[in-house]
Amino acid sequence: MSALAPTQILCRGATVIAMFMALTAAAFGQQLAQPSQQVLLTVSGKISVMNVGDTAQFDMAALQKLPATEFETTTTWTEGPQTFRGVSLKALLDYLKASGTTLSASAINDYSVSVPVSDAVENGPIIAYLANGKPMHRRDKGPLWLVYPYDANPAYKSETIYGRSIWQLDRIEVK
Amino acid sequence: MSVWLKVTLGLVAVVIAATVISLSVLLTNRINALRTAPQDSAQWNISRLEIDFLKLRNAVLLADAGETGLDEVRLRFDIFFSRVNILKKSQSVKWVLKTAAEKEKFLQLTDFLDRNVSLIDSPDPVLLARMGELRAQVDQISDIPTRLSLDSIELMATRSDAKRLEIIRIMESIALTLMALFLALGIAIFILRSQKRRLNATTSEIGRANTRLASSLRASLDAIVVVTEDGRIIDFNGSAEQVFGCSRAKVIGWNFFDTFVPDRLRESYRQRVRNWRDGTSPSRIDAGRFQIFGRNWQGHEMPMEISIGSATGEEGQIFIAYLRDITKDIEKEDQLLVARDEALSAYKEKSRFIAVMSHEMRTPLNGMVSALDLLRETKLDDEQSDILKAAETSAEILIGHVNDVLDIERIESSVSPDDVTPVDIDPLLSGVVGTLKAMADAQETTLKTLRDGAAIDTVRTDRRAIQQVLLNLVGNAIKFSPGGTVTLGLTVMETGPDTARLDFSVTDNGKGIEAADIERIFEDFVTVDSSYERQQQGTGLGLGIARRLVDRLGGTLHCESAPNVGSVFSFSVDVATKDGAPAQEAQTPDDGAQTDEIGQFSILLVDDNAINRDLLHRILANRDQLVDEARDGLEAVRMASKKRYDMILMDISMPNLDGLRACEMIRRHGSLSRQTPIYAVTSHALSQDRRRFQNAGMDGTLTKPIRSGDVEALLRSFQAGNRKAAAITRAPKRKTALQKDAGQLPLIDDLQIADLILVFGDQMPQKTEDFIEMFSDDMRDLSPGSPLNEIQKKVHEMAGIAAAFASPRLHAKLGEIETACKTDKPELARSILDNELAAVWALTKAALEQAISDQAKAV
Repeated sequence: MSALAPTQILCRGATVIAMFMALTAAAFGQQLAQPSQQVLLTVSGKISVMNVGDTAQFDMAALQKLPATEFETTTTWTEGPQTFRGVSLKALLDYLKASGTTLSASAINDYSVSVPVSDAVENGPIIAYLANGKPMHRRDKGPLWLVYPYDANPAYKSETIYGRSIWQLDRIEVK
Repeated sequence: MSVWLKVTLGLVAVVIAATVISLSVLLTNRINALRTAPQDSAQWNISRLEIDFLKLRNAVLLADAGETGLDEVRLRFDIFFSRVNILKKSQSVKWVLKTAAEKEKFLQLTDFLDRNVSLIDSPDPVLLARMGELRAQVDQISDIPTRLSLDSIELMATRSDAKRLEIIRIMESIALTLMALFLALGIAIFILRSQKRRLNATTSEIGRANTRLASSLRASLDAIVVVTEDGRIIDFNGSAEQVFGCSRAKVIGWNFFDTFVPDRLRESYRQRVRNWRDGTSPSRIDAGRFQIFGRNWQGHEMPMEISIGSATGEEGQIFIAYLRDITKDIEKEDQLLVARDEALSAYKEKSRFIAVMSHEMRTPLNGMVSALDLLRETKLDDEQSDILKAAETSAEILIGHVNDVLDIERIESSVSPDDVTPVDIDPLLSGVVGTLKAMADAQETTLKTLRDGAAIDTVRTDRRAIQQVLLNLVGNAIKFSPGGTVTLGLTVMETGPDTARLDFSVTDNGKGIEAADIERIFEDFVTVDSSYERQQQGTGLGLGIARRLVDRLGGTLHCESAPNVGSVFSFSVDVATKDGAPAQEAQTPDDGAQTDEIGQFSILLVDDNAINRDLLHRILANRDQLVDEARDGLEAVRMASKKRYDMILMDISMPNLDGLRACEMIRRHGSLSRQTPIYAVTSHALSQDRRRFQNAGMDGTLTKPIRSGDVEALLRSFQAGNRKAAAITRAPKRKTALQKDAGQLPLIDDLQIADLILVFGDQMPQKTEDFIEMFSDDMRDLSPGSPLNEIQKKVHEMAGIAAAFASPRLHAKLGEIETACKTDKPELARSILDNELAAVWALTKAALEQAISDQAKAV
């Protein structure tokens, strides 16, 4: 032990912190259950709540257990107003005790985009799992879609935000 | 600024405004469009369409070859399906499918997907079995995504160009508008600056004018009050505050008439202003200064000088009044008048004093001359004779001086030529020359006369006045021209059928007079050459007397002179030439220069009234007369029998023996004075009375109240040997006075009082007091209960006294009583006596006392 490299010390420190965090989450009854159905979303990176390895994996039931947010808005990709229901990005990151600044969100179709954590605000974007009360099919931008309330805030009607509105979402890495 | 410029600027402004508005609307729209992205990148979606298709095709090929799972095929199918769906629904890519061919191609894609959805969802064995078929279909449409992608790039390029062009156009129009705006702003700034300069210039000019106006208003010594048409005060300067005694702030808004016009004049002033406005009387607005009465804030009235101007202000027509308090001016004027009157009366007093003094001096002088004459008769040695000669010369000079002074007094006390008679011209001139011949010879001066002009022999004028002027002028000329020549010239000019002008001139070649002295020589007591004065011992009054006499004749005495060359004195007199009876000159032996001298006569003065006697005595004594007094008729007869008097002055109503009886007795008995002229001195002035006097043997009448002038005239007339003509009366005038209602007559006769003062001098107050005391006693004695004849007698006596003491009303009132007695109306007589006389006496007494005290003050 007399000649430990600095990297090793860090790794050990990180492990100790991770263990402590996991214990804390368990102690508060926020243990994320193991997914029993098909996994729809996998969150990795700087999060404190995990269930599969160092990732947090959600099936539809797990997502629906989180506080839900619903709003109506039009989008540039659909016709007429749509009602979206899902978990707000803020609620998800709060739940996961995420500590990063940037989210790297990826889709089934390999589309990937950076979303700053600062986007996760009240009345901000949600990870929608219902459109007009129905689950979304993979052939129609499902099953998860990061939707911003475009009509409620004009600032969301920008190409940047359109670019961040990733559909067929299945992975998020908190950096 | 001209109209067209205004219109142009207006149009430019409108055009610019319209451009700016339309541009900003356009820009706002563009900005709003840019603010929100209506679509995501269509380009990206279309390119993704190609990639997703290729991934599907790859998965199908591998699955057909058994190298990959069916789930991969299903995933890629779903992803491609989703992509096509997006393109189908998305607004943003609709424009890509513009042409029919493209729509057809896109339809083929959707057909493919729709046809194979059920196959993809089929169980694995079914899908696997038909994988070849799927592969064939994929191959069939394999060029469509590429085709769409390429088309979209081309379209995007075109669209991008269009957008760029549009933006360039917008930028250009912004630039143009900005330039136009810049230009317009520049022009506007230029115009505004020049406007501002002009405005500044005008403003400062107005400011300067206002300052000038305000300061001149403030500095004005006159009060300035500005009022509206109805008299409301709207401005009030500093001087007005002082004149009216109230502050500007207090008085603004008040009515001028109510505030500054005395109550008694307010309505009439208002009416005056109304009359000016409706043209009833000529307006005094803008028409110079005039006088009004104003009053100050404290209600004190003051005379003011005002001038009014008018103007049109914000309040309609306004009036600007310039006012000045002239209380002090008027006071000064009054003071000047008083001072002038005082000076005049002092001057008169002085000349009276000198005159009285001279009278008083003449008697002893005459005595001295007589004494010197007597001394000359005695035996004298040469030295004594020389001394006597000196005394005689001195006495003569002194008498000359006294006479000069008396002449002045006499000339000044009469107003017009008193003695216009027919005068023969040539004897007049030769008389003057004759009189002065001896003097001229003594100085070896040649004396000439030069007669010229119209051949008129006789004119009507005051002979004595002209004679004396000529004697003075020629005598003077001789004095100043020893060994020279003096010429007395006369040019007669006819100025009308009955009139002529006499131009007299006296020319000498003597030493002359300096120009600066010419005016002065006519003043009194002026002698130009003091050394000569000593030599000649003149009073300096000669030319003053000549000037006065010429003035009185209606001419002017002129003098022209050059030193060492000579002098010319000249004057002109307008005279009448008709009434051509030759002059009856009452030549007396001493006629000439000394013609005015009244000789000394012995006179018996008869009057029972002490005051009358005293007065008359004094008048006579002042004229060198020798006077004896008798207190009644009896005494007069006695005295007249013992001495031969030159003249007797006889009162009519006297106790014991009245004047008429006394006259008869003097004439009848072997009296020494039986030939002496006797003159009645009476207030009985009726013509029948005078006939009565005449019948009794009297020669004339001297009317009471006695005037010194009347006495003098009597004496002169008497001296002229005109015994009968000496009846000096002012009968007609007195008669009228008597017939007048007594109440209308003055209480006292001012002229007579002046005469009394002249006669009595500083004894006047004492004499007045004596009179009042005596008369008061008489009033007490006068009882209505007395017998009528006693009343009549007493009243007559008192009337005489009243007349003597200058009290016409009292005199008339007593006369009324006397008349009532005479006409046997005892009730009337007693009634007047009882009811009226005391009041008239009280008033007269008061008036006399007042006059005497005024006199005392004036002295």
